[in-house]
Amino acid sequence: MQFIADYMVALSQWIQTSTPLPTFALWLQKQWYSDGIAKTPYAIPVLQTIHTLAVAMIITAILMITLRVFMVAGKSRTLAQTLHRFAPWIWWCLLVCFVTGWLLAIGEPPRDMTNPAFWTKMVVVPIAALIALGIQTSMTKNIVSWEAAATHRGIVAQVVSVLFILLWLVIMALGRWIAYVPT
Amino acid sequence: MDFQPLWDKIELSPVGDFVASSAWAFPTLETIHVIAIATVFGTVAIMDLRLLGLASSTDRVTDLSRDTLTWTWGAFLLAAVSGTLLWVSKAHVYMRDPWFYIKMVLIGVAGINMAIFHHVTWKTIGQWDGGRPPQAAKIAGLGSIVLWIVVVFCARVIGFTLGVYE
Repeated sequence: MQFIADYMVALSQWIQTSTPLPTFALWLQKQWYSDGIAKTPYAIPVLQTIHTLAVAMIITAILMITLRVFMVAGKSRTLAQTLHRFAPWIWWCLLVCFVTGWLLAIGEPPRDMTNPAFWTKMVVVPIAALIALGIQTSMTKNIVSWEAAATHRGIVAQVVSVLFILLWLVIMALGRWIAYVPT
Repeated sequence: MDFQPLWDKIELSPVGDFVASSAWAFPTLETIHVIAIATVFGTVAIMDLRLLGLASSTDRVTDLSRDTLTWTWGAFLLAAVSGTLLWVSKAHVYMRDPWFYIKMVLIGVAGINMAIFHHVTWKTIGQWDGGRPPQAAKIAGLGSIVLWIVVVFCARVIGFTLGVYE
């Protein structure tokens, strides 16, 4: 765990000394829209609630697809039907997360803009979105192979699914640790 | 009755002291708590949206229940354990925060709602398993999703109000 702490401290120091982000955060904090979000009663917890609920739907949608790949849930559906049911939730909720996440960052610039966990999350989320797009495209184009892999418990499909769900757990952890890492 | 000595004793227990004094314990437990609650909400929402006729309308309710219920209960247990460990570290602060009480009561109401659904409405499942749920099931689904949304909101507000009661 020490290397994570070392990484966060090093990234925080780099953000503070080598980027314009601290100045930008202070400038942003003085803008009317940032002030508006910060001073509106319950705006931050309401945005955080919507953000959390959207993340919940993403992680559950991925869980349901993963469980179908493992043939432990959704067995009454084909993999194509499972994908059709849950994949749109991932994308729509990702959009909700994007909007609410940036509104939160605008409302609390010093908390987020100089935060190493926040910027790590901002790098990991687009990577996760690209991987999701890759998996979805692969499933859509090769649905017969994926269905066969699920039926015969293909190890590659299972490993890809588990690694992807772990990546989202890391994203959720980064989101929570924004509140705790040094800035 | 003054419970303050009890809360102090809980906080000073080895577990309470460890969670409070470790730099990693509280944020790690909170991360586990959030992941668990997210899984509870997500799996409950899949069922609720089906009961409301808003998603998975062609799926049998019994199939969805089988797919989600184990995860709902497993994640709820994880949330309860991690939540208790968080509470132990700052018991007296949580016990002063009205949002904590609201959250606990709403979780209780959500449990009662679920119990009524599974013990009463579920008896006629054979008649509507693959089709449109009856009014009672829709009300249970609506109640459940609204209650869990408010529970998550209360949890977030606790994060903001806890400092006030330190």
